Amino acid sequence: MIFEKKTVALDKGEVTYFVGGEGSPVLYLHGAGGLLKSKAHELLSANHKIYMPITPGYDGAEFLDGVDSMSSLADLTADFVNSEIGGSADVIGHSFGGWHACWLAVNNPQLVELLVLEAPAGFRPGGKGGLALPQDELMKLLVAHPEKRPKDDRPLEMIRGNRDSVRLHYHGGMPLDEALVARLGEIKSSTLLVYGTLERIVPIETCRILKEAIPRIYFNYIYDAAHTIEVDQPERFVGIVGDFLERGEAFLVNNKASESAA
Amino acid sequence: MRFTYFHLMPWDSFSAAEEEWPVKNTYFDPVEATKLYQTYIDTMAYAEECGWDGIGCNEHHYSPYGMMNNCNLIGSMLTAKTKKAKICMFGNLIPLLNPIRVAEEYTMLDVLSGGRLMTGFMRGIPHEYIAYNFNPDESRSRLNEATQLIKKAWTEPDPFGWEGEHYQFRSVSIWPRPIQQPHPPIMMSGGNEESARHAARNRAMLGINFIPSLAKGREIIEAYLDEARLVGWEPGPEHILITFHTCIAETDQAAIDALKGGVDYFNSTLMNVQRNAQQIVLQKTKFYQSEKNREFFVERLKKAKSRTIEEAIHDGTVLCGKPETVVKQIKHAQKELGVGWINTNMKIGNIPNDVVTKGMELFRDFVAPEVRDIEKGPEPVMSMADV
Repeated sequence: MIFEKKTVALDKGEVTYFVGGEGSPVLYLHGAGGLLKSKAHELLSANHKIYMPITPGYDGAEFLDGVDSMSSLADLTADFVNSEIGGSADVIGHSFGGWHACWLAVNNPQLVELLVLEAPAGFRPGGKGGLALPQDELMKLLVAHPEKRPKDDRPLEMIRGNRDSVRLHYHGGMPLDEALVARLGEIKSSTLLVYGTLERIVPIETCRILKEAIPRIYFNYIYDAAHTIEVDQPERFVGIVGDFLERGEAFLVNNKASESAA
Repeated sequence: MRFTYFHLMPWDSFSAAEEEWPVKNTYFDPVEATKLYQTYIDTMAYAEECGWDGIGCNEHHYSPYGMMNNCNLIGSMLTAKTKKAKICMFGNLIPLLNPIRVAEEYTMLDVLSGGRLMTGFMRGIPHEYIAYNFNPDESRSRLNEATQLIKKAWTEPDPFGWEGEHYQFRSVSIWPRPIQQPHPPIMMSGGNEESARHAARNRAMLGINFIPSLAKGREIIEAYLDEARLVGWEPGPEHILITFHTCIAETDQAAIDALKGGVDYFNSTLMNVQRNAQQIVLQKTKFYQSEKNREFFVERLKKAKSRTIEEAIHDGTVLCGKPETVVKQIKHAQKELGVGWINTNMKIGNIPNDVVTKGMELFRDFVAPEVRDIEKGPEPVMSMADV
């Protein structure tokens, strides 16, 4: 599956995005490392049309005036959804993108159908976890199975820049977004929270906060996955996320036929 | 030094010359079995009165080798018949079972016993994989994943789902949750160095069974200690348990004679019926990932069958004799291995139950008082770092 690169002019400026697949729309919000298209995206695109905007400032894109906080970034994304999708969508956010997705869901609940949070950043009480680690150590925490990491054509300096400085433009490095925590109860969407059993960047306390605050949330461990679950375990990630997107809360109920002896 | 009383619950009057596994169940007499279960359970409960710190059994299928297909049922009875002894489930065959069910049953035992449960997370012996129709090649990976899932079921405060290689559960929240926090002690098998390292990586206690020599036991323990240090923790004696065939009588010769009869029945009858099935699994699957471990398992069985009781006593791999002799053997084993727990298996094969009971009383009166205060370390307690 080849994702097509496009650009849209919104009121606040231009946003570049990738789009591909067929089916109901899914908005994918990337993590602090920028957009890394993975096998999971390809698998999901079999049943969904995936929209993957690049956050201004990331991957060489320009920052936009007035888009300098997580809340204002979410508002820009709402404009993107209205413009390019033309209505509500299911939303997946990874890490920084999960934080971003939560702001979108509280500011614009009418645009978010089902919400998937993949090891979301922004809810690290006491600063536990985080990205402030030497590069080699960080790489081990991002992906447990580096052999599965997709080819990435972006220069290493760009990826580091995304992670080390660009993200700070939006949140200044705050570990716990208390303003957002206070509003998590406003999230109307059924929410699936996925968390790798090898996760070390986002602490488990994040899951506790989200479980406590979001009214309809389901928490799932993904076995043998570190922070970038979709890279470590694309089939498991798509197995549960795809099922959730297809059946909503009914994903709790096993609908698979027993294997036939024949 | 702490002691656990282990019971294999064997069918002790099997006379058929069967060599195939599974053994047809027309040989099983349910009425006789009712009496046998009762005798065994009473004996196990009596171990508490005789000073054992823990009482346990394990899981086997389809043969007279052992009658506890689900040791948790026996454990449940023991919770009602004992007051302070640990309930030692050594253990459930984790890869063959629904891990959530294991988490629930173990937790019930912990709660029913008022927090006295010690758990075994065992992979099982090869032919058990035929019994429950699981691929032996997957035994290790199933054990790994199920272990993590069970720990999560014990410790996770919120309902959660699990998307794994072997197990998928969309919503888990077990009732009850364990008394022992964050969870009851876990023991894993140390049948070889690979298993010992696996136990260390899981911060579990190490349980070593029927070693061919104390030197081999030491190698396994060294591997366990080495791996534990690599992953950042330091086991003490309280984390290491070794199982011995144990026979105590008024005289050394009486103990040797009793043990000879029991071991002969154990090897020639109870073990014999599963040997063929065991060979098929060992030869045709990757139950043992390395050839070295497969050979070690086979050699250990061969040696157990061919070695005389006198040789085993000389090698320090059984506890057998009058009380004074057994005290010396225990002290020697502790000194050589640094273990904090000895797991005694006294109903070996068809050793008569009254001989077993007499041995337990000799243990109570003359052995335990001499060895109880040997270095044993604190009670093993799990921390959140173990989760």
